Amino acid sequence: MSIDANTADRVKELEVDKYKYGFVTDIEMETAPKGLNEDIIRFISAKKEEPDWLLEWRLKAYRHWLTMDEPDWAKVGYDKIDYQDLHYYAAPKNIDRPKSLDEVDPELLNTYEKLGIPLKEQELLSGVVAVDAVFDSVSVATTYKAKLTEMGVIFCSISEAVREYPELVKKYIGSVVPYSDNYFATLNSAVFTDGSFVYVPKGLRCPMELSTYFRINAENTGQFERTLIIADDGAYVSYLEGCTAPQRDENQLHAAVVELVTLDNAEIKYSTVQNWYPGDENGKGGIYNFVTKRGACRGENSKISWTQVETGSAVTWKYPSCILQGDNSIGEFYSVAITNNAQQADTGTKMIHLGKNTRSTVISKGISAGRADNTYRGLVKILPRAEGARNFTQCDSLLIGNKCGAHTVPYIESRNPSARVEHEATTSKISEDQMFYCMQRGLSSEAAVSLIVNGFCKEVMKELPMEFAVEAQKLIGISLEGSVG
Amino acid sequence: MNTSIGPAAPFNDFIDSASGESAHENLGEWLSEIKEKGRDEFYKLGWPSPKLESWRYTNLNKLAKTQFRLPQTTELDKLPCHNIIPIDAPRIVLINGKLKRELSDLSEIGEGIFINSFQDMRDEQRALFCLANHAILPKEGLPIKALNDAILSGALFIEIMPGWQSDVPLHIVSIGYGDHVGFSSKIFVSAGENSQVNLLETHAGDSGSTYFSSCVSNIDIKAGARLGHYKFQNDTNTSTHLALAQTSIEADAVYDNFVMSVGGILSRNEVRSLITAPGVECCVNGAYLGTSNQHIDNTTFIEHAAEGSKSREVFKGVLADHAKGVFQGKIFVHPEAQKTDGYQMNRALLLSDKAEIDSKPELEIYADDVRCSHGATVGELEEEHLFYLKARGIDAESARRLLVEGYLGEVIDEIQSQVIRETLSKVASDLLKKKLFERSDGR
Repeated sequence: MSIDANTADRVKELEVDKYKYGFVTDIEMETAPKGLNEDIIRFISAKKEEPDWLLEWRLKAYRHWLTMDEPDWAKVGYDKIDYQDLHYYAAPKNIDRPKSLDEVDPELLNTYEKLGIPLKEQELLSGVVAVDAVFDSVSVATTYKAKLTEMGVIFCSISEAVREYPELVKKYIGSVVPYSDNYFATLNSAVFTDGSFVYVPKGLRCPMELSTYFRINAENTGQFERTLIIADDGAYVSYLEGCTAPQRDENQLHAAVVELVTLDNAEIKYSTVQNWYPGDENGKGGIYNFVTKRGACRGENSKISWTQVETGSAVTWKYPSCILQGDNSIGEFYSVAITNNAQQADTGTKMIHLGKNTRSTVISKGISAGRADNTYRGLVKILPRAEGARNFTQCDSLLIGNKCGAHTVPYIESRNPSARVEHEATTSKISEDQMFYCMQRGLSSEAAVSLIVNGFCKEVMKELPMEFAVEAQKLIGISLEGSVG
Repeated sequence: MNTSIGPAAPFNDFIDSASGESAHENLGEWLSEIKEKGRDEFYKLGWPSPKLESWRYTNLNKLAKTQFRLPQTTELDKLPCHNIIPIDAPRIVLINGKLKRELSDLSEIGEGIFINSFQDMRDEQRALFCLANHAILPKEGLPIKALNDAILSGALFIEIMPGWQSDVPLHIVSIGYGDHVGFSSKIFVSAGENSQVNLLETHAGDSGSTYFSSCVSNIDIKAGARLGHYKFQNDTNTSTHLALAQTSIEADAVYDNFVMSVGGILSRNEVRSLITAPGVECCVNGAYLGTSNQHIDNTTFIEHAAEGSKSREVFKGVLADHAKGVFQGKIFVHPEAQKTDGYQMNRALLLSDKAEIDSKPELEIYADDVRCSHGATVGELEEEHLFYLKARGIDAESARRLLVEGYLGEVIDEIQSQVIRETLSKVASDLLKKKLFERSDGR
């Protein structure tokens, strides 16, 4: 395809606008010294005024972590991480638990404004979304708390939950992702600083979508969020997670843990748009995103649904999973993963069927451009008791250019004859016919790619909540800019 | 390195004795070198354990803890005919890995095929042992190959002259015989340009024998050739069979591979095909039937290193009782292999609630203008299908048999050679009767 003047201009525009969320907020940080040892963990725990049992739990995790090896089975390559060269605690200093938004550092609010989440406005406006914004490690503002509290929904930072609702936290933390689960989850268990906690009481349908915007800010700070969401009998909640991070050259580690629990007839819908800094064209910089997300359908007829749009990060290692314990429980995974330039993504899901008549659906769309590698890795496991279990998996890959790779690695393990498992996968490219059709109607090549790719991802995009769908559609276009032409 | 099985494993004693054994073969230093190299390589790799990705589902712990010994001079003078493919064709017989001329019959073979064994091989055939393999090695190496080298008992060289085309298949029969004997063999095949031949392999045992057998085939298919390669793996139900077939395929050639595995307490058939030039058609298919506590592993790797080639892979399995089936398939497409057309399908039928299937159909693709798809399904017989047949007056047992036969028939139909398709179809039907439907335990 030839480059016309129009395209050239667009590219130039991009140079400036390439990563519009790439800026660093200058706020004085209170930071723990670099390195990781038991003292640092005690420091974090003390800073957060945690009870002894949690400190013990952290230390147990840390001691276990020392015996583990970093996993190398994923199809990703990156420079070795020096875990002693990271700060494990960083808090914006001037905001010692603000009581209202007025007390929040104006510069911080400014940052969010640039990101397009004007907290103040949102508080005034209709009240569709409550934001528990995490700036590095400490929650700085939580809106709509009062209203939610009134209804019995607990939506707060996890450190607050540890103080206010220790029984709940103690009961559920580590019950889905145990501290010994895997290298990065274990590290998180030892050093996690903050994250969100949600509890929806029996029979309540949470009236608004809960949302957290994460930001990675301080240099050399590994982010270790821990999110715990519990939907009690018959409850429903939709949770939104969206991410952007400032541009910088040093690789940053992000090892979060998300645990979901649904009891009888409960449902959690968890949606993510992940747009962390992917590094430059040559793969310099960018976030390492090593996340453990897992939900347990404990109760009968319960449901957990994961939807993710992954466009950012230099390296992604992420497998949101469902443990279908309750009879008739349902697990869903809808994913769009886009990799461009030198990005690498190894992502997928695990569906573990334990209960009778459990059902799971997996739809994964991988798009690979530039020199990127995109891998779907998924496990469907049917255990002997899972009478009548059903799984359908579809993973489609789209390749743009001949320097990228698309890989599909499904694992299917069945131990029950009455279970039905189906898997299908295809790999293709954007055909010249499709491009011609669009461009003939006046679309630029980039707009055409964006349109075609959005169509390719439609099945997943329609699962996203309204607020996210628009943003995600734009993101897909932005992520693939420069991949054709 | 990666295994808990220390060098003290009883099987390792056997490897040590086997690799030191070649003196009386009159083959000199040369064979000892191969064996020693194989042994060192195998110890370096260590016993494959489930920690290794390509051995995730197949555990050799039990094998490593079993003591085998070298076969004595082979006194078997009659083939266990009921265990091998009933086909009237020239045959070459290996007993415990070694050529047995008395039982072989090559009178009908024709002048276009030359067969040599260890004893009478030529220098250039000797060189084949040292040939480097250009295909991508799995990270874990090829333990089967190293083990095969280490205990090597015999080898066959089959050379098909360029342009030689024959309807008469060549049947290679490998028989295990004895109590806890271990042996391995190698088959080198070179299919000359535009030649056309079908090879048939039976791997079986004399009734009551318990053995470990390993077979590694290295196959070279030259431009325009068409090679059918069909294997019936029917070892005795106490034996272990580990096999590896490595194939390199040149321009416009056709490779039609089919493995039917029904025997052995544990078997692994690994097929690795490398497509080096355009216009190739590579079919790697298979059927398996597992009963009692059998473990059947089919692992395949198809590598597209040139553009415009086609590969097709269909595997179907039936698992009853406590049987465990493993399918690991991978299609690898190099960046230069544009216009690749790849298809992969694995289906498994579970007939008992104790049976298990682990399936991993994998695609690794680095070229954008390709058409690759794969699918996998796992389930039991459809109630509706059974009902349909029963409503037409067919009893439940016959209905089940019909459906299972049809299920496997579908993949046997992939075999391109008509004679062999019909023969194996008959074999499958008899086996289903014997192993699944008319068993003495009354099930």
